[in-house]
Amino acid sequence: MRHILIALALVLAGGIWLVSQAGAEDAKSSAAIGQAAPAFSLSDQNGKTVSLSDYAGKIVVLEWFNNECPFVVKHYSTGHMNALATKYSASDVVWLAINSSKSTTNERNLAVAGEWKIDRSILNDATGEVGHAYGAKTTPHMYIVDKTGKLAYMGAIDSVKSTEAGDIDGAQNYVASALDELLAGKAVSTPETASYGCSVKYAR
Amino acid sequence: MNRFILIGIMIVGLGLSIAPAAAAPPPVKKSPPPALKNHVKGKLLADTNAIKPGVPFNVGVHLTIDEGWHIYWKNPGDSGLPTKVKFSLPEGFVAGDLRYPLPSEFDQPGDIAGFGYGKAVMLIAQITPPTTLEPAQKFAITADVTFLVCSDVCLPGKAKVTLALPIAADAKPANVLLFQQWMDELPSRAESLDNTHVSVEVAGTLQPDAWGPFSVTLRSDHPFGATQFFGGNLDALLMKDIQLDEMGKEVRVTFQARVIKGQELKISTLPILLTYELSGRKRQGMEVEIPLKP
Repeated sequence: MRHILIALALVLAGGIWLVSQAGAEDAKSSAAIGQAAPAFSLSDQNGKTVSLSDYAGKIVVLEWFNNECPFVVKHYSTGHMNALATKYSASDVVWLAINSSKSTTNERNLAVAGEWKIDRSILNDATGEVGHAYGAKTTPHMYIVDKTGKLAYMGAIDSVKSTEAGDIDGAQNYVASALDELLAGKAVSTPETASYGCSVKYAR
Repeated sequence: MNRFILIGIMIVGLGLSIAPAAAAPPPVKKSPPPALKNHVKGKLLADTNAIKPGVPFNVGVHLTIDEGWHIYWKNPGDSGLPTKVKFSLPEGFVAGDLRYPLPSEFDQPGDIAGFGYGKAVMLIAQITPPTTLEPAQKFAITADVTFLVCSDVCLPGKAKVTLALPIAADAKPANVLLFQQWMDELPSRAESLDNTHVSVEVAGTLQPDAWGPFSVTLRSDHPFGATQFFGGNLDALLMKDIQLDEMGKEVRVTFQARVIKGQELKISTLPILLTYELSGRKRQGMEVEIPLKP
């Protein structure tokens, strides 16, 4: 009987510790240029599970997304983001949107994909776990994973921090530049910039 | 009886340990705001009822923000957009730098820094009229304000506010209490001659093509409390590893900074702000311009 009580006491102590960890600070982001991109496995708007490892050996673009954010609307209302993804898909670049808003659902992402003609995966990261692993702060926030699985670019989509669609054409598109360099086998000349956008609406 | 209480506690402990760390139920979602509503109302005020040739006066862009919404400081933080003002002035009039009252730090999940204002703010600029003016006219000053106002969602917004003032030899102060309230909320500037209460020490140099350490130290005769740091990425400069240490009569902020690889820096100084309460007195701030070019 004493052994059972001791065992249960240890379980209790363990339980208290686990509950305390649930409220603790999230682990710092492990994303860094030249380091392996954090792995993930998320559901897309069709309920299909999509993992980064599915695309080993390919260049992957991750686009932090929130259809309710005017900075994201700026890049979609002009058809600009879709055109960019389509252009580089011809060079076998995989382009995934990730929604880390606490209120995102597959249903909502499916509806947006239909309305905004997004013919690629929008991944459901409602818990924010993947966003935190990447240190995503804004929508949009762009990451490029090279063919060896390492991060080659992190930051803003382009050089003009605004919600004005008219600013897109004159801006320097950091993602397009980085992709062109990677596809030509060159090093990325601007691997890190400060992202801009709305804050990611994390659950915690 | 004690044994059963103990077993009961153990079972609860077992239950807690195997339950997943459940997220709180989502808060009731506010209905989205009407598409055209601005959430920010603006007016332009002066601290005088009339202009005297050559005599500077202050104008204030007073913004009231709907409950639950906020707008941003001149450096918005990791997200958002700065609140900006563009003045249209009559011929010969000159506006000084726009001064921003001490901002608040927004409590945002995910370690995302956000700086700005809820409820209300008055941005202040000094206007200097020319020394000769035609007396018959009224002079119109217009402020075009651009901002991003956010709650759960963000809405870009604009406000255009105008003020017309006559010339008068016997110009009288106006909006006295309002200007007193908001001028009191302006930070001191490290290099200004009337800063006697806090000494400022800056160290660090921008390395070519690498992260370099920077530090700003404030010292006072009184102990610092409730210290906050406001600053971050600006122009082509990236900042990371920001650390703030409050040590009695000394406060130090350290960080790493570098120029974005492949970009050129347009700014020659990096503005940062430290706010604090000295000996528990009213919150004050010190704005420091950190030199960036060797």
